[in-house]
Amino acid sequence: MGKRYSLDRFINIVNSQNDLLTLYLRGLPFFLLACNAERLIFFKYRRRKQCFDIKAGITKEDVEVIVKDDFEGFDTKLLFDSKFNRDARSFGSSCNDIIRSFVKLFIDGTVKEVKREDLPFYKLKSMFDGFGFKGSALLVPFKSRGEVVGFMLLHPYCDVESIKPFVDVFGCVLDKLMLVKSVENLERAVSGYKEGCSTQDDKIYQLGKSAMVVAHEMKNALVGILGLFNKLEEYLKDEERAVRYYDIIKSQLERIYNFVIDINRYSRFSEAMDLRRVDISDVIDNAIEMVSAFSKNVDFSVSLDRGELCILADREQLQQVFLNLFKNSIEAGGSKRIKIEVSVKRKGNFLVIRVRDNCGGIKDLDKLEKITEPFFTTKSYGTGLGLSIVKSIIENHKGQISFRNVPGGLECVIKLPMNFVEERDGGKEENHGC
Amino acid sequence: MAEKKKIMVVDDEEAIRVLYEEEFKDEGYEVVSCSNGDEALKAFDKEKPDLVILDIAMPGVSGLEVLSKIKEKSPKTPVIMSTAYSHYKDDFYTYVADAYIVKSPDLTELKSKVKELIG
Repeated sequence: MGKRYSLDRFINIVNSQNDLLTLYLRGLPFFLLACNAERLIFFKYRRRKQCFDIKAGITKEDVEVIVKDDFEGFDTKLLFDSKFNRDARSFGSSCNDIIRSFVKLFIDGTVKEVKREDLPFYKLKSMFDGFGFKGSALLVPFKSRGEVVGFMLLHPYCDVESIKPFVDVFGCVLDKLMLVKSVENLERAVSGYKEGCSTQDDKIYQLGKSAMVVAHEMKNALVGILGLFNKLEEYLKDEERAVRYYDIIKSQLERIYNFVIDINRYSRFSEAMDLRRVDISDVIDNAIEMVSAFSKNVDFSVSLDRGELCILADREQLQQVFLNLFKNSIEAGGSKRIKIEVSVKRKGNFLVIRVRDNCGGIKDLDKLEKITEPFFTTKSYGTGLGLSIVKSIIENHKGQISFRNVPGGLECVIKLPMNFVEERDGGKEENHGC
Repeated sequence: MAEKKKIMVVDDEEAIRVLYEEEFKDEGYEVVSCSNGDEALKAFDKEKPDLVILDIAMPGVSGLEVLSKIKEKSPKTPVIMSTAYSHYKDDFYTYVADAYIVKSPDLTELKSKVKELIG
C-alpha cells in the first residue's frame, strides 16, 4: 500500500509541474504517457477544470477503485472529466511489441536518455516527433514497491529531481491501476495469444483480410452517399413517388452499409483483444438492454449461478457474442412473440452459457452444421457473418461453442474458461475478483 | 454580426467533403475543403482555420503527418481525426489530436465534437 495523498496535495503537485511539462511538450495537450507490462495510458491534465482526461487503457470503474483507496477526499467528479472516454481501449494486444520494447529499456529502472534512432518502431518515432522532442528524450520510470510500473517521456533538459514528487505519486497510482503487474504475465499472454491465432483456418483468415480491404473502400464511399442521401430527404417533401423510391433506395443502401460493417468486424476480431476481468452478468444485462431498445417483441429470462461469474475476456467482444445471438433469434422468430432464455453456470474453471430461443430451430441438420460458417445464412437478408463472428470470438477466448435443436427452438451452448491465459499454462486457479 | 468560425475539411473522398461542407455550412460555419495532405498544409497557412477535420488514410502525405505539421505550426488549433475505423484510436500519433471520430453517415457525433471544441 502506497502513501496516502490528499486531493489538494495531488492537485498542487500537478499544477506546479504542469507549466514545466507543457513547455517540454511544446504546448501540445499531452501530458503523460504511462505504461506497465500490459497497458498504456495517456493522461491529459486540464488545468482550468483541474481534472484529468484519460485517453486509453482503463475504465472509469478502475479509476474509482484506486481513487477510493489512495486519495482522501477525492471526488471523482472533480478530478476526472465527466466526458470520460467510455470506450477506452487497452493497448494490451495491439501494442504488445511496443510495450515490451519499453519494458526492456526499463529493466534496471533507471532514468535513461533515448535517441530517436534507438526507438524500435515507426509508431514510437512518430510519437516522438509528435511530442516535439528533437533528437532525444528522457525516459523516466515510475516505480512502486521497487518495481517499474510505468514511465514517462520528458525533454532531455528536464530536471528529473524537480518532478520527483509527481513521479512518486504516479508510481503509486499506476500500481493500483494495472491489473497485471509483471513482465512475465505479459510474455505469457502474448505468446499464448499468438499460438491461439496460428491455429485459425488460414483460408478464412485470408478471406477476412481481403474482405477487410473491400469493406474499407466500400464503407468510405457509403458514408458519403448515405450522408448526402439523408440530406436529400429534406427536398422531397411532397413528391409521393419520389419519397417511396427514396425509402427503398435508402433501406438498400443501409443494408449494404451494415453488411460492410459486419465484414469489417468479422475480419478484425482476431487481431486485438482487450483483456480484463469481466462480470458476465453485466455483459448480458447490457446486451439485453441494447436489444430491447430496438425490438419490443422479445421476453428475456436470465438465470445465473450464484457467486463468482467473472472471467478474463474482452468485454466488447463478449457483448458482441450476445448481441449477435439475440439478433439471430429475433430475425428467425419473425413476427411471433420471442422468448430468449439465458443461463450461466459455473463448472470448475469454466462458465457454461446457454442461450435458448423459441424460434423454431434449424430442422435441416446439414444447415445446422454450417451456421457458423462465414457468409452462410438461412435468411433472405443478412450477411451470414453474425454467428461466424460469435464463433471466432469464443475461439479467441479459448472457448467452445455448439448449436443444437431443442423443443421449439435453437440452443447455443458456450463453454468459456474463466481465465484462459492461466488455463493454457496449466490451469492454475486464482481468484482475482472483478 | 460575429465572424463565422472557419472549418477546414481534409478528405480524399469527394462525397465526404461535400457532405461535411454542406452540413457545416448549414450549421453556420465557413468551410474550406482540401482533397489531400499537401493541399491541406498549404491551405492551412493561408486560411487559418479555427478547426480542422482530418482524414487519416489519404494518398500522398498521410493524415498523421498533416496532424503533426499542423500541431507544430499551431498547437492550439483543434484537430478532429475522422477515419473509417476505430483502430487508429490505438495509434499513439492520433493522441496528439483533440478528438477522434469514426466516419458515419450520421453526423451527430462529429457536429457535437465541433461544437464542443470551437462553439
